[in-house]
Amino acid sequence: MADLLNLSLNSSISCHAWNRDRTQLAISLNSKEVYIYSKSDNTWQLAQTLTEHSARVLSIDWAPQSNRIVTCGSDKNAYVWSLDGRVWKPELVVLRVQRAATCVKWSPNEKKFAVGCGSRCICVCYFEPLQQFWVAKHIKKQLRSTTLCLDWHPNNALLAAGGSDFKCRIFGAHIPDVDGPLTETSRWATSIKAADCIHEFSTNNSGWVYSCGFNFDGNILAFVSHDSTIYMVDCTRNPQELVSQRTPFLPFLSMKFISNTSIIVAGHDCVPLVYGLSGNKISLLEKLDVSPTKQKSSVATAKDLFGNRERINMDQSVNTTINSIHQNSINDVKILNQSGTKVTQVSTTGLDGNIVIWDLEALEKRFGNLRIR
Amino acid sequence: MTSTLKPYLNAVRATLQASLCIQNFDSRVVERHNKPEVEVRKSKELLLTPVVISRNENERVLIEGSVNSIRISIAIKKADDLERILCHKFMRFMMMRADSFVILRRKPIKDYDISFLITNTHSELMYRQKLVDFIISFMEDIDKEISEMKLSVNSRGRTCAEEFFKQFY
Repeated sequence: MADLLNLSLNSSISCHAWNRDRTQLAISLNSKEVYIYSKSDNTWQLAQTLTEHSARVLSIDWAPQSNRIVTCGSDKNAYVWSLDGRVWKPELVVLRVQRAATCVKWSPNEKKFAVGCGSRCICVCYFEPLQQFWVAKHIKKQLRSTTLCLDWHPNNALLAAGGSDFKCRIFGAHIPDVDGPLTETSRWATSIKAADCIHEFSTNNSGWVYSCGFNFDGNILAFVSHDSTIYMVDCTRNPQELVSQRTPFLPFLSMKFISNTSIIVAGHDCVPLVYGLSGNKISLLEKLDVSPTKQKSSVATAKDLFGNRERINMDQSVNTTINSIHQNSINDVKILNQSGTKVTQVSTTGLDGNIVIWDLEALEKRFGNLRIR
Repeated sequence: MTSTLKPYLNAVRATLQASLCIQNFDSRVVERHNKPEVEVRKSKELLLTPVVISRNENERVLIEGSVNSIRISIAIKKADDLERILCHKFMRFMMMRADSFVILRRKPIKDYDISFLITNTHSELMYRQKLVDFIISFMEDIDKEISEMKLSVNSRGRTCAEEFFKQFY
């Protein structure tokens, strides 16, 4: 249902990524190192420490098919790590940016990746065989702010990016030399020009866009922002209007599609939630709150009452553990297992240093009405 | 606890919980720097609207939010000159030792008596809930502390005066 992965980490986790068969895990503990853990007989062991960054690592992505890791960080650099025998070897990416690289994402065909950064551009990077290193093409149109999140459309030609300028945009990121001629079109745009801004969506209440994503068929774009609101756009509907739902929770930091119409969101409230789009409405489907509620006897409650009345120093007597599995903000949600377009397991990491694996199928059975299909 | 203190503290607590939603954000102005945006104030879009919660014209809290840090400034009740002096001395005592208080700012901002600066590093190292509890219990205790000091100063002054006047009898 919801299992804690025990790596005995004592620090907050900034990001994590899984390999294809989920036997290896790359995490960064809010530092300049990336740790690769591998699973052997149900225990996780540290396999290698990747030390190439000179400042905090901000994002990791693991390409499942080609088995390469890309990391980026505050030191304005990104590295592509490939397995050479048993050790990971870094290759520097020439990003040509002057500010921190905040987020990175492999394209679905794994021939290129996108890096968002603080110097008002998005780098689409690919391997240049003539020069033998990774080079970047910049998308600069309409970007005036830090990019905080990225996601690729399944056709490899569109890229969604949200930033601290309260907007989420869709860019054309097709590179003919790498991807070949554009075969798959989408309903988002009839023609895709490289590095062009195709759509721009604003948040209602000026919130920084923390996370964005396309669904599995690429027709719905969803994003979450600091104003605790969930936004979705369905390109098959006419007109393509932005649907939003304001929530009573603290802002969400991360979101992932778990089916074609539903998303899992998590953030400062420490509990993941499932929201779904049906027609023109986003609604809360389930709150994945499976923590054991502490059963108190009536004597204990009465005792607490007197204790509270008497207490002078709050921090001595108040129980500050909150009633959820994560004890601090969740900042990263990743898909762990999926069958077709239905995600069965997700993993979340947070500032409390916990990695929690949520088995959605088991939760679905338990809650009964969790409709994530 | 008087009847107005509770809603006041509840309002501060709710505002703190909402504004403590901060995360790491690298500077956009200087490369390889990471600064509290609420202090540098270089880009407007990274700052939130400041909130003032006031119980009366003397007692108020200013909460300024930004993407990676928040600043909490507290104005403490000062009924007379003695309380003003005590408050000034006490705050000065603490702010000189700001390093050991971690989230305390070395200087209060204008018109306030004491300021706290909480950055994303603090929210990563400490539980957010405990930070809120600390600020609230600080606000609860400070009034009590100052009125206790005022009482002891008064009684000490009275004793001193009595001893002094004894020689004239």
